[in-house]
Amino acid sequence: MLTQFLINGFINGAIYAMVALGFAIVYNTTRIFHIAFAILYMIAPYLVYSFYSQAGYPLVLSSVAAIVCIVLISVLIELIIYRPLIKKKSSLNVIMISSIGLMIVGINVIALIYGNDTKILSSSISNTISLGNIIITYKQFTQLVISTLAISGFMVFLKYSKFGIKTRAMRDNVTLCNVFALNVPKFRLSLYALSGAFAAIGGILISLDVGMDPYIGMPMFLNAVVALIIGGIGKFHAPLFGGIFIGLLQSLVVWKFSANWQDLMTFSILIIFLIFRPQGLFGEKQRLV
Amino acid sequence: MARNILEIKELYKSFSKGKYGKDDETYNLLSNLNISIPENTISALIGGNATGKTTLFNILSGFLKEDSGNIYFHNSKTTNLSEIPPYKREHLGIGRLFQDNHIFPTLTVLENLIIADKNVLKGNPFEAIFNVKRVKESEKVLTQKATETIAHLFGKSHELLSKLNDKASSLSFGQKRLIGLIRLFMSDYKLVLLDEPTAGINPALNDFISEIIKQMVLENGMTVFLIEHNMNFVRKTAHNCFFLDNGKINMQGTPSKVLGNEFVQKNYLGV
Repeated sequence: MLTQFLINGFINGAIYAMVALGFAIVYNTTRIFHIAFAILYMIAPYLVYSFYSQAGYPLVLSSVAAIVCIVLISVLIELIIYRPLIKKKSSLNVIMISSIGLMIVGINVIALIYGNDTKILSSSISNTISLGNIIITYKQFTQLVISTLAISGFMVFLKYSKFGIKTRAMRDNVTLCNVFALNVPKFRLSLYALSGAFAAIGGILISLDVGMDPYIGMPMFLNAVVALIIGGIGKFHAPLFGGIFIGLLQSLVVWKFSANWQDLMTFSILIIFLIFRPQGLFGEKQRLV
Repeated sequence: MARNILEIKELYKSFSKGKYGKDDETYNLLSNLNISIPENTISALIGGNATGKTTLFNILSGFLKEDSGNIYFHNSKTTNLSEIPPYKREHLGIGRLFQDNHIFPTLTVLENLIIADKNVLKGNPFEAIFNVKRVKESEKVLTQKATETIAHLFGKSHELLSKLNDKASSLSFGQKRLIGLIRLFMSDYKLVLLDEPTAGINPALNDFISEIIKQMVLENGMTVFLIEHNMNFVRKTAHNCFFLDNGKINMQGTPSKVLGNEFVQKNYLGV
């Protein structure tokens, strides 16, 4: 039984990790606390619902179309909201408040269009794969494979590609990036696009299993932020371990106590980390001079 | 007579006096500033604290916008820098060494050097997946270029050569400063702006840095415009010297002429 819970936790953790990575891509490089990221995660499954359940297109095609739409929305958020504020030299706090405002508007618009009730993409019972006593549904298998591929693809990209060097350079020192011919405003768009894609994939994968409502974004966003803090802010690989850690922890809480205690445990762990290891699991001592 | 590579004409830059200052509560930091920098020379900008030296460099790099005036950069063609964004100034051949902001701390020493190469930040980002062979070849060429540059400047046994794969954050301040200087040899800059190249550096290294800067001009055909408070360094290194005072160039000429001037000695050097 414990193994089954650990496997479930690992799969959930992989999705947390991917979503946290999406948030980290923007936060680590721009320092913008991009709360509107939560609505990207929430809107994606609704778009799949429209394309797949309402318009009747195949699920894969609907998902790809939804991801493309979310990527565009993510880029538009940067272009229409964040960039003008940055040009006006608004503080990061002002930008964060604008992001909160956008999230509230987004939730209400979706609630207005689709209603507050939970929508599901598929009501059929998923087939399963049995490995001894462990049972994994096809949906879980899909979640694990896609999130693992997305994360590992990004990590390879980050380490070996020009895009990766640029992303890591942006994380370290934006001023110097300008000096070395990086068109920072343009590059930021690609980071927002990538971040939006991760949010959309995460939202779609979760909704395959549990459906969607207009409020699913914030709990996942908070889990992603906790994963980022536990892993170590500023590190791209850190949210992966933070995400898996939270996934496993929540699963153990469900096993030992009840699902109602998951959030309590998650935020208790966050407080413990903030007090005793604020740099996170992978934070390291750096030479200052 | 060498042609000028940079001409600053009637440049004005003002700032608000207070946080909530109104337009009429500004002061002119740079006021009718005129400077011409001859090609293939080393020019030093000196002046007291808060006279606008770094502000001028930030305007030249595109991080600040001048209130009025013109900045002409003469390379293969003449460009008015006023409307050119910072990243495009690098394309024109303008490099910069900051006073205390030299490195990308989590990148390796090697990555910190090769990032100055134009090919690293341009090109297809998907090459890492679809053209692994080309990426590896390009990496090899850049690594060789970085290694050769360090060996040429500091000798084949320099400690930086054994630290190429270390994170740059592990280096000392002086080593980070050296990385900043070496990096300027990794691209084909025409004009480099050095903001206090000897600040925070062991005095024993001053002569060494002076030689590196001379090498930039003699071997690499660059023009160097530097800010410096170490007057011995200026005397040893620079061909021209500009004394910035009250927002404009108060005195210019050879370092010995400017530093020997009574006004400069009294008002800046405190002699």
